[in-house]
Amino acid sequence: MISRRAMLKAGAAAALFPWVRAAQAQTKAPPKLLILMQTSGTQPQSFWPRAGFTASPILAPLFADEALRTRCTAIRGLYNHAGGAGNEHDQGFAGLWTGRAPKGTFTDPWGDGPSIDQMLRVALQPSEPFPTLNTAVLASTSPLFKPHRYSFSYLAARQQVPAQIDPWKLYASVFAPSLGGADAQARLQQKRTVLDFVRADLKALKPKLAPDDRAKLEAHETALRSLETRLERALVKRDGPAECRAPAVPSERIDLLHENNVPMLCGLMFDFLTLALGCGMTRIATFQFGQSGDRWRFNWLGLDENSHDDIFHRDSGADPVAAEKSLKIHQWYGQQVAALGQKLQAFPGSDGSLLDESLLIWGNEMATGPHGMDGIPILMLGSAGGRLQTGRVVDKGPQTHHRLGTSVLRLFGVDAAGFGEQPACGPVAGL
Amino acid sequence: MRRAVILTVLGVAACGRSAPPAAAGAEAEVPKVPPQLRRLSNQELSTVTGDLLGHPVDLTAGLMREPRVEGFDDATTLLVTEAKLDDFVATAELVAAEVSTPGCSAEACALDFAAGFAAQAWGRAPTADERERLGAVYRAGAGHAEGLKLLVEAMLLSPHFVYRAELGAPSAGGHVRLTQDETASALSFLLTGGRPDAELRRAAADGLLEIPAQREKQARRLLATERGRLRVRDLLKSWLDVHALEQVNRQAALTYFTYPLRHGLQAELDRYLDDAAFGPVGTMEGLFASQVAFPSKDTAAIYGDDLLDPIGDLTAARMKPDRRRGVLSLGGFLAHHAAHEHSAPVQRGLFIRSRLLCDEIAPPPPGVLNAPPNPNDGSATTRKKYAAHSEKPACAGCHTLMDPIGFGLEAFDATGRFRTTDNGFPVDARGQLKGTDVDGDFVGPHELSLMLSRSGQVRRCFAQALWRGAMGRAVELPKAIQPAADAKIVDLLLDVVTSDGFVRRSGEATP
Repeated sequence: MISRRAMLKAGAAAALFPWVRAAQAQTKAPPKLLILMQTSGTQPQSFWPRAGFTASPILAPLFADEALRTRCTAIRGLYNHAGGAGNEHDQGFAGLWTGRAPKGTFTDPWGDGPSIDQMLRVALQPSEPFPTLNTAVLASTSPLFKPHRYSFSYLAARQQVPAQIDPWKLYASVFAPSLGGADAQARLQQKRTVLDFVRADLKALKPKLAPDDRAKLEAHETALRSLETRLERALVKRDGPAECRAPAVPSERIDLLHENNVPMLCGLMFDFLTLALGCGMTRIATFQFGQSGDRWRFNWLGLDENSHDDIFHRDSGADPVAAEKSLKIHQWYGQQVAALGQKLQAFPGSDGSLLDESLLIWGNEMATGPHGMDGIPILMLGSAGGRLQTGRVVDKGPQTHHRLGTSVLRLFGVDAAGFGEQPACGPVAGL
Repeated sequence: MRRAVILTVLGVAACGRSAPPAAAGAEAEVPKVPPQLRRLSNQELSTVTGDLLGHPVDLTAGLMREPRVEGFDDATTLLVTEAKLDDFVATAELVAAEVSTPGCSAEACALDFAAGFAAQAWGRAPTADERERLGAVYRAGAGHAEGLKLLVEAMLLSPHFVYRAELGAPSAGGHVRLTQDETASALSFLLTGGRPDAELRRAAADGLLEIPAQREKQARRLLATERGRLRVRDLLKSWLDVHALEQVNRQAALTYFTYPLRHGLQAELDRYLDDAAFGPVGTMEGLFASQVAFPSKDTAAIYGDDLLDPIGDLTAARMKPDRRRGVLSLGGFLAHHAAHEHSAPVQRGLFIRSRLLCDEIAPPPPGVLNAPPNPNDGSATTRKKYAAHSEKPACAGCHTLMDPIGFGLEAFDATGRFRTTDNGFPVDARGQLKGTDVDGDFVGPHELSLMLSRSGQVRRCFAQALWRGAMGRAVELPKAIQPAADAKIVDLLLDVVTSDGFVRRSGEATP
């Protein structure tokens, strides 16, 4: 950080930013991560690819596009038996990506450690303006009734990273900061004086705190660095694809809380995430389809029921009507992931497509609607820059979900023997 | 903090965890709270910003939505992430755009301005070192106006603004105590939701806030202000978890459960809570047992013929005593604690059990799917559909502690309307409270309310909630705080701020 600042002052700005380097014919950029999180499990018999890695009803929208199909990897057999506070929603939602069972009470369970996006932030110290970008669509007809289920990202135990649900704010924050015209350099210097003042205050306070609160201030410091990086980048002429030079900000605002806007909001978020990853604004992003255990009514699919209670819970094989509705919903999720995959595939990367240099993981807090925890559906897209052999189902029998965390950490260059509460569990066998 | 419920006497399976052994002696009175920085909540940021601007603003709608913990803002969950920092940057720029030092454009004026500004923004005067550093920030601007803006931005992005400090300092006897400034801040945020006013800062500067009677004097003064009233209302709403009424959606939204109605229910609830805390009665007993509601034309559809007096515009109207009584009978409470298409008796029972009686209910045994009955199944009453719980031995142990409470409210539907039939079948609204200090059978919220209004457990649970609000996290209520049977709501707050624990910290984190 210090040396970067020093070199910047020496006037070598452009050469210092990794995204500029990435744009300059670099062959092996570090991979980018995008974790999607879905609630309430899937319909297993309709999810897993068929023989010969061909389409299942849920994956059909993805597999219909050969470019996506060949870039998919399904991981079968993961279970989450870790338990913890709350019920399976909480155990999976706060557990899958922390590797830790939630702590607290049945009605008030919270994640018990950092989630993988934040672990990677700490381990990789990404130099992009946004070390992580945590996003979601949380529009819902039922008010968000369990705050601990707003976001699966955690800095540390109980320290949930809220997900940004406002695409307009995201555009403004990620693409719009401006320092004005001619005297921009002087303005940057002024802003730095302000940030330095703030940093000095934080530094003086930190030793007075207990370790948990110190972690909070470290996150605060990271946020300040992110702000400074954004301001610095506002000075540099935007390079790369035209989309990055002048991102198309959606014009008309829509209600972020109105559930019937969910499909439109997902589309806006996917456009944004593609730009943010493709234009080097972040390399670690998350997106959440609603909150954990959400009760979306899926009016846009012609349904109008509390999907959690009246569809997913009943989707256990005995209720054909619920099964049909459930499948309809899961196919919609498949379409969403396919749409996002296509956007990433269409966006140019440094070597191939943005999807090629990324790892998109479509995860879920549970395996099935009736709270099954065996066979959590995991679908990956992209090869993380050639680090992953795609186009196959990985199925080595039952394995603990912690191994997924280990594998992802390793794909991103973190030498991990295990994950969360299982520090020696190793990676997913067969991956 | 939570009472664990062990019901061996009743012959049902034990439910809940056993309570941790209480520490002996005075040490039990020191809150297990580490030195902490409490980030301003969205509401607090909005209030403090209004004070800086000299006119009230409501910024909350534009700020990033964040989780409350069991209804309360919680120091352990409020963070400054990249996205949240944008909220603070925007606020700083908003304020910076409005400041000026009329008639003076020298650095000395800017620093004088900073001293007054810090009092409001940080709750204290800047130190000599801070003045010096602020001077440097000022000088980075090209000219006075720009320098002043930068200075204000620096002060509002500083952790001294973003957080409120409760770091404490070692005191005689080796304990950590809040400093005078921190005590003023803790008092003010708890009782007004904002930073200390001039008089409270003066009391801190005079070193008076060490003395419980002085804290009480200040607290009484603050509680008598408009802001104090709003803050007590907010604390009650946190406890009752009724913050989102306007967003509550029910199946009946397409017919009568419209936005104006929900807004009316929220306005009534607010009015009711103000009256409960600051009206002639002012007791916990009154909160639960009052016969007076404050309906309006907007909420007429909910109250039907349940009132003895004509409906005015949020004016007092007596409820029929054999139908409704107390806060649990208000349309707003009943509609908030329900589900989209049904009355959610289990959720209502669980809420009253866990949040109003502070009993911790153990989770369902592993492998049990808490699949609610189909609300669209019209072949029986909601109660009958849920009654299966008490028939299964594995579920009964805990569900008999919550379901019968909710069943007793079954004469009120998902929007808080009285009903005599459910799915075409007669409603059975017999309820039961057991394992509490006011056990017994009851019918309807009016009878349950009378029982709860006499419960020491409920009073203590409310005091526990206030303590949580004061400490910024869930910590055990000091034994010294023992709410009396006729305790006033405001008195409970005074008990909190005058207790020794209010200004003491253990220096270790809660495990």
